[in-house]
Amino acid sequence: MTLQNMEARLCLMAAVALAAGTLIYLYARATPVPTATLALCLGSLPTLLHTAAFTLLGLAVVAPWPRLVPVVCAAWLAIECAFEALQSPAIADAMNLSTLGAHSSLLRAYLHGTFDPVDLLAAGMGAVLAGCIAVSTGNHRVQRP
Amino acid sequence: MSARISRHRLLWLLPVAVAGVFTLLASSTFEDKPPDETTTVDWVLGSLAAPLVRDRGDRTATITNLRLAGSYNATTGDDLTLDRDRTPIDDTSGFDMEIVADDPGDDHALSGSLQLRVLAELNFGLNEDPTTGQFSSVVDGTTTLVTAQTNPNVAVVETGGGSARNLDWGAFRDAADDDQADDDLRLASEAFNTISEIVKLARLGESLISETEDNRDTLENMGLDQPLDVACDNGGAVGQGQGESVLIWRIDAAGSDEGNIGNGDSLEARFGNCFNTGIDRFLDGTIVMDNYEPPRGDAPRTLGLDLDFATFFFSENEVTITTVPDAASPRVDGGLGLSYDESLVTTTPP
Repeated sequence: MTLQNMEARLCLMAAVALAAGTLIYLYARATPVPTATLALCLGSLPTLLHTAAFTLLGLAVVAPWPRLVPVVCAAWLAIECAFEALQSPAIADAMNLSTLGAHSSLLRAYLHGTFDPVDLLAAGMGAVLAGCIAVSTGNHRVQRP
Repeated sequence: MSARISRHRLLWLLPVAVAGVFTLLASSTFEDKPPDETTTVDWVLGSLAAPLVRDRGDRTATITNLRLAGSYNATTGDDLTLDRDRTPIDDTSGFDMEIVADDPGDDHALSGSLQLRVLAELNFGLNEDPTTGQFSSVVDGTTTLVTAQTNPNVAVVETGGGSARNLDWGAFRDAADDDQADDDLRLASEAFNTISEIVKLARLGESLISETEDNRDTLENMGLDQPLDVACDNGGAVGQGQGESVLIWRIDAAGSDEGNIGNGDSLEARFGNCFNTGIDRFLDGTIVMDNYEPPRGDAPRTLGLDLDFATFFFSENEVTITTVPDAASPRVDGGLGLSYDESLVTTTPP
């Protein structure tokens, strides 16, 4: 597979993941869910998809350097986990984030979110999923043009 | 091997990261809101150092020792507001009022001093007649008792221990301007009408907080003492003049939110013939807002604000340069303090 082909595939999959996450936010969250398990999955699925999408985009960038795959996956997982942790009241208080949040309505809204450990798990799964996709797509044996 | 591909390509990771973080933050706007819970809101409208003065052209009322208080049930998602069909006013409420006729030679003009006390919770509504409750108006030692009755829905008026008479609420409200009615009834009516006027002023204060919060980022970016134009609701009717309104952030109080508009700050609102649909009045003049305390965040919230009016027209009709105070365009001076406290209602598990 050529480098361009692989980049295109990774970007396409990232776009699909982003679109799926957006659809969940727009439609699935507004409707009642029959079971608690399904509610749990739907609640954290956007985190999984977001992590996977942006890890895939990162992997598309580093496609010529296959050894960077684990680095990109770990880096994006760290970013997702860090932002999720900011929603923990204990961490938010320790970092005096209410003052920071006063400067940005977007950050203020984010800090108002609910910390959920399941989201950390979902982010991990998203990063692993993206890594697996990249490897299966041929990132490790890419033919450069 | 990879040297043939420029390492500058790695710079593309930067926009990817920025887009990722931005969408991460933006996703919070879709966050699930917690289910609404029942709350109780205790509210108090009170006097400030400068007494509230209401001039309506033919007479001027000075209101002191004001306390209008009550509580209502709501849910966590509701605004803290007296904009409700009914706003119960409890039996801790009351005020003193001195009414002075602008023309002392007019025998029909209303004058006198009274003390209004709510004796039983008044089921008050700005656009509704009370169905329960009782208040008294004491003038020169003579007590007029007004009791809200349900069937029929009338005001039962009893002056100085005399016989009771039933008045429908419209007639009771109009009695203040009826120069054929006795002074005790007129003053009791004026006192009751004053409750409505004070609640309307409180509603204006609420709308000022909302306006400030809606424009908070802009005001903060502009900094102190910079006027921000705010839209008025004029312009719908033929012949209606233009309105002007500005908000100014005046004082940034020291504290945890110093540098931003927050608790304890002072702001100023200036109006020129500015129609406000929320309170259905034309506004003209300046209101200083001190001790700003917006009801931000999740329940339980608090709202606090000291309103200082300075020759402020609060008018049913348009205000022009020739406007003088009259019954439809009363002028308000002095201060009014607002304090609302929300608390979550705890339910005992079955």
